[in-house]
Amino acid sequence: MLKALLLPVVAILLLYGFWASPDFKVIAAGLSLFLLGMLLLEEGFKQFSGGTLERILRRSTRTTGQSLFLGMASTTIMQSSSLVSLITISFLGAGLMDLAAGIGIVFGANLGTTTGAWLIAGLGLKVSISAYAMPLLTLGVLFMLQSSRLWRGIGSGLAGLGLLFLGIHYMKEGFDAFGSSLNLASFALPGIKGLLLFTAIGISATVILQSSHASMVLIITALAAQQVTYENALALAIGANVGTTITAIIGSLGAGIDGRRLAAAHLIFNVTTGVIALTLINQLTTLVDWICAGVGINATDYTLKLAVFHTVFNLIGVILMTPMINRLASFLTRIMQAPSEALTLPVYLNEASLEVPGAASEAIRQELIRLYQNTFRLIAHGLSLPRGVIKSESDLIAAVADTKRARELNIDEYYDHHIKHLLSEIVHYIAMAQSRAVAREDTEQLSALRVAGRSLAEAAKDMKHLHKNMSKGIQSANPIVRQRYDSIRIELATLLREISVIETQGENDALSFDAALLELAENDRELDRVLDQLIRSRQLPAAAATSLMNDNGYAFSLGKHLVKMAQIVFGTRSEPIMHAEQQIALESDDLTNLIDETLDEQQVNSENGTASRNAAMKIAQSKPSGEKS
Amino acid sequence: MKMRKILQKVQDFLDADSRSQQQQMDSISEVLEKLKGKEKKLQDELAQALEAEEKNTLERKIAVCHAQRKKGLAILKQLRTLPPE
Repeated sequence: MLKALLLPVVAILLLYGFWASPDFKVIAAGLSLFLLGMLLLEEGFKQFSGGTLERILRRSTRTTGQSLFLGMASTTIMQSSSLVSLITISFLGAGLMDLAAGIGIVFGANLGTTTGAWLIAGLGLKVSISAYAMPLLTLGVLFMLQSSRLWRGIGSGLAGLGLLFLGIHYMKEGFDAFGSSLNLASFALPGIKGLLLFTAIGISATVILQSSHASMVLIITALAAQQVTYENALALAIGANVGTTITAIIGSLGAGIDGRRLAAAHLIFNVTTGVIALTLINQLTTLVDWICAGVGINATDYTLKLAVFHTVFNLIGVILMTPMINRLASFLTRIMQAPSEALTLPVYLNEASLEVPGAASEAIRQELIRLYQNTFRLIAHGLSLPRGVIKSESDLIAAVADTKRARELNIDEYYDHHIKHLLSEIVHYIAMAQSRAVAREDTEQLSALRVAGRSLAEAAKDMKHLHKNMSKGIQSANPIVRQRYDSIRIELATLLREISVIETQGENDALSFDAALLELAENDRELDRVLDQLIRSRQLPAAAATSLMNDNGYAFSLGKHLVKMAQIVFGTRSEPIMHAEQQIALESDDLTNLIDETLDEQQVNSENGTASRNAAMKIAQSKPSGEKS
Repeated sequence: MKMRKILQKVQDFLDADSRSQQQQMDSISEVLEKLKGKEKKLQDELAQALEAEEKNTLERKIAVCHAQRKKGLAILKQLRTLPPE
C-alpha cells in the first residue's frame, strides 16, 4: 500500500518543487540526466562484454596492486574520483569485474583524486568536464545510430559520459546560488568544535556540489584569502572526502546489487579515513610539517600544505584498508543481498549428500522443484495471469478474458537472477555427483535430472520469445489476434495447472501430460489452417499471421519442455518404471500421427454421412492390436 | 513412431543383460496395465460427463491413453520376439 503511494507522492512533490523553484527544476533535471547517463554508460560497456574489454580489465585488475594503480591512474587523468567510481559501478553491473577488484579501483581513485588538490593549489588548474558534454553527446548519438555492435557500444559509452557530465553541470548550475552564498569565514571556530563543524560543512558542500574538486576549489581559495584557518581547512578537506561518496551512492541507485556494494565500500573507506584523520589530526599536522620541510615547501604555504595533508590521509587509508579488501568484499556480499537472491541460492545441494547417490539425486530433484517454481513464476507473469488463479480451480477462460493489459516483466533480468544462477549451481552439483556415481542407474538418473534442468531453462527462453508479441497481442485492436493469444494463454495455463496438481499430489504417472501436449499440437495444426483462411480473406495482415505462427511454435515448444521436466521431476521415482514411461510417452511424431488419424476419421465420417462422433473416441474404443483380452 | 526409434530401443534392450531385459519388459507391462485401468476409468467418466468441454477433454485423454498403449504394446512385441541374451 505504502509502496503504491510512494510514486504519486514523490511525483506531486517534484511537480510542486518545479513550480516553486526554477533552481530546483535545474537540479532535478541534472540528477535525471546524470542517472540516465549512468544507465547508458552501463549499456555501452555491456556491448563490449564477451571479449576484449574483459581481457583488458582482467589483466589490469589481476592483483590488488594493479586495481589500485588502475584507479589511481584513471582518476589522475579524468580528474574525478566520482566518475571513476561510477564507471567502476557500471563495470560491475555489466559483470566485467568482481567486487574486490572494484573496491581496489575505488581505493586507488581516492589516492588519484588528491592530485586535483595539487593541481589546484600548485598550478591553479582544473579540468572542466562539462566542456566535453556536448561533443561527447553528439558523437555518442552518431555512433549509436550505426549498425555495428562496436560502434553502438562506443556511442552508448560516449553519450552516457556526455549525459553524466551534463548532469553534473546542471546540478552545479542549480546549486550556484547556494554555493556563492556560502561564507566560510563566518563559521571560523577553533578546537574540536571547529573541527567537527567544518567537517560537516565539507560533507554538506560536497554533497550539494556533487564534486570534491569543486569543494576543494572553494576550500583552497578560501584558505588563500584567509577566510578560513588552516585547521578548519583541513577539516573541510576531510569532509569533502566523505561527501564525495554521495555521487557513487546516487549512481549505484540505478545499478545492480554489486554496484550498491561498491558504493558502500566507497563510503566505508572514506568514512574510516575521515575518522582516522580527525582522530589523529595533530599527529598528521606534524607529519605534514615534517614532509613539507623535507621537500622544501614553505611553512606558510598553507594551500600546498593542505594538498600534502589531503594526500597523506588518503594514503594512510589506502595502506590500512588495502589488506582488508577481500574481507570487505565478502562482508558486503553477506550483508547486502538482493531480495531475489534467496530464490537463486541452492538450499538442498550440500557436500554430505554427494556421498550417497540416492541422496544426491533427491537433493537435485528438490532443487529442480525450486527452479520449476521460479520458472512457473516467470511463465505465469509472461502469460499475465496471477499464479493463484493458475493453481486454483477457478475458470481460466474467464481469468484470461478479464485481463485488461499485459503485465510488465523484464524477462532477461528475471532469467539471469532467478533461473540461470540456480541452474548453474544444479548443473555443477550434478557433474560432481556423476563423478562419484558408480551404478549405471545412478548415472542415468543424474543425466535425466540434468535434462529436466535444461528443459526448464528452454521453457523460460520460449516464454521470453513468446512474451515479446504476446504482451502486444493481449491488447491488440484486432479481435482475431487477441483471441489467438488468449487461446495460447489458456492452453499453457491449463498445462501449468495440471503440473501443479501432479506437484501437490506427489508421485504420479508422467504419461498424463501427453494429453495437454496433444491439445497444443492440435491447436498448432488448427492455427495453420485458420491463418491461411484469414490471410486469404484479408482479415489478418501477413506479418501478424507470421508472428502468430512463430508464437504458437514457441508455445508448443514451451509445453514440450515443461512436460519433459515434469515427467522427470514429478514422475515416478522407480527407475525401471520411469524408463518404461519415457519409452511409452508420445513424441512429436506420435502426436502428429494421432492428429492425422483423428482428422482422417472425421473426414470418413463426414463423407459417409454417419452421425457426427468424435474420431478420437473411435480410435479409443478399438482395442490396440496385440493386446490380450 | 519411426522404425529408427524402435530399432534404437531394441538396440538398447540388446545391450542390457537378460535380467535387466526381463525387468524392462515387466516395467512396460506394468505401465500398460496401469494405462488400461486409466482408460477404463476415463471411459466411465465420459459416460457420466454432461458438458461439451468436459467431454472434449476426456475424449482427448482417452485418445492419448490409447495411443500410449498402442505404442507400449508395439515395443513390448518387439522385445518379446528377441532371443534372450
